[in-house]
Amino acid sequence: MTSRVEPFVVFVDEAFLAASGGSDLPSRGRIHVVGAPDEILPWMSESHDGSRTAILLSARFEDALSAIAARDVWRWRVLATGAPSRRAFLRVAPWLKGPQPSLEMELVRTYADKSAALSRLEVALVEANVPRPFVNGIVTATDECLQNAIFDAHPVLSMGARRSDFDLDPPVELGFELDDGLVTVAVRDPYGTFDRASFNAALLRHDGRRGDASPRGCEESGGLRIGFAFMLRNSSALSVEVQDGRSTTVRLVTDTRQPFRRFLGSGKILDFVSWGE
Amino acid sequence: MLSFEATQTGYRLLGEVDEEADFSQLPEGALELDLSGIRRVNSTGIRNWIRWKERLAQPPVLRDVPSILVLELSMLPDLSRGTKIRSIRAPYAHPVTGERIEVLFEGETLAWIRDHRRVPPQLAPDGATQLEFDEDENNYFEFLHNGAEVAGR
Repeated sequence: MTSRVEPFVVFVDEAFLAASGGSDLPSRGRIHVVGAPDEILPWMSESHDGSRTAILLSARFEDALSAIAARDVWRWRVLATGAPSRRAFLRVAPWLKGPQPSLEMELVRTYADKSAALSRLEVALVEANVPRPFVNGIVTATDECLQNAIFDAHPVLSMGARRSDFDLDPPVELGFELDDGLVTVAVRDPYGTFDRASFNAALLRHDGRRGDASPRGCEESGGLRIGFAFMLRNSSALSVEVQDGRSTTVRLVTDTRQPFRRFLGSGKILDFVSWGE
Repeated sequence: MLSFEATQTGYRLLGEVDEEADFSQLPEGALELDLSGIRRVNSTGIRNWIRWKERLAQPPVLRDVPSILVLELSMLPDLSRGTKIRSIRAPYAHPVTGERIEVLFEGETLAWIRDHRRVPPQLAPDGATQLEFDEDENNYFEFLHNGAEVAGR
């Protein structure tokens, strides 16, 4: 597996800037993609792996994603808010350093495996004194991640109705970690749950509140788009990492060290990284 | 797994509304469903629910709807439209201790919230401390404006 030093984009959603009362980040109003690592930019922050992470611009989320798709950029990060009317804060977090150190992953082959894994996650969170609304949200978001991997990406299951009698080979993997109030959940699948286009499309469809529950929507999508909305709603950071065009790891990080209602209005970090293509 | 326990007025749902939830086990006809026993919900379970609801001549009346399901009702107009709601749980938190308290809101209170578009103040058990609403106030009660009806007592 190789990692390329290729164009990447970091941008701040305009709504996020407005919600946070502006910031010390200058706004450019147009898309700019860094083409070479040694381009000098007036505002830069170092990521922990030494690559440059530059806050380049603010833009409408939709415009930025369209521009990124047009330029075939394979790595981007957006700092965004899910609710423009909310006060939000800006966090510049280190860029993902390629494949993350492995969490201890358990295999999910069947509905029983999934149920047991979700129950273990719930127990672990409760025993760690994570507040109940966070527990509910994280378990829900994890369930939706698993469903994405099992039903939307599996070559056979994606063609039919969602049911509970699946037996996956190869399995989907689930891991989680608690670290001083930060809860990380990772779901890995070999079925290509997300690629750049589908992840961007999911983000663009999401308006923070609505899913598509019409019967036609249910049939076409195999489920409800509300699943992705719950993943976003119940996390502080959501990252998608695709390796060799197939293996997908979705990672949700939730900061539970705050009142739940404040968490709901806080900003999000969204990452997409594709390796080895 | 989702199971159904007969009550005096209908059925109480217990467990998870997920891909294994089979609502066809419920009889047809007017039903009151107590949802207080629902522990977890996912989008596939909600899809199963919607498909079942679409086939009913009369939608059920829902009581003691937990917050995890209130969110779904508010996010999905097709789920809330035509649904009759007798009571829901609304989360408040103590501003100092952070303790979460789920308050039961019934017919008149739900109608008030619908008409005033804000949550009613709630006091802690000490009778003096104002609790804080512990959800997104703008979205939590959206089901009241998405076509759900408030059912009387």
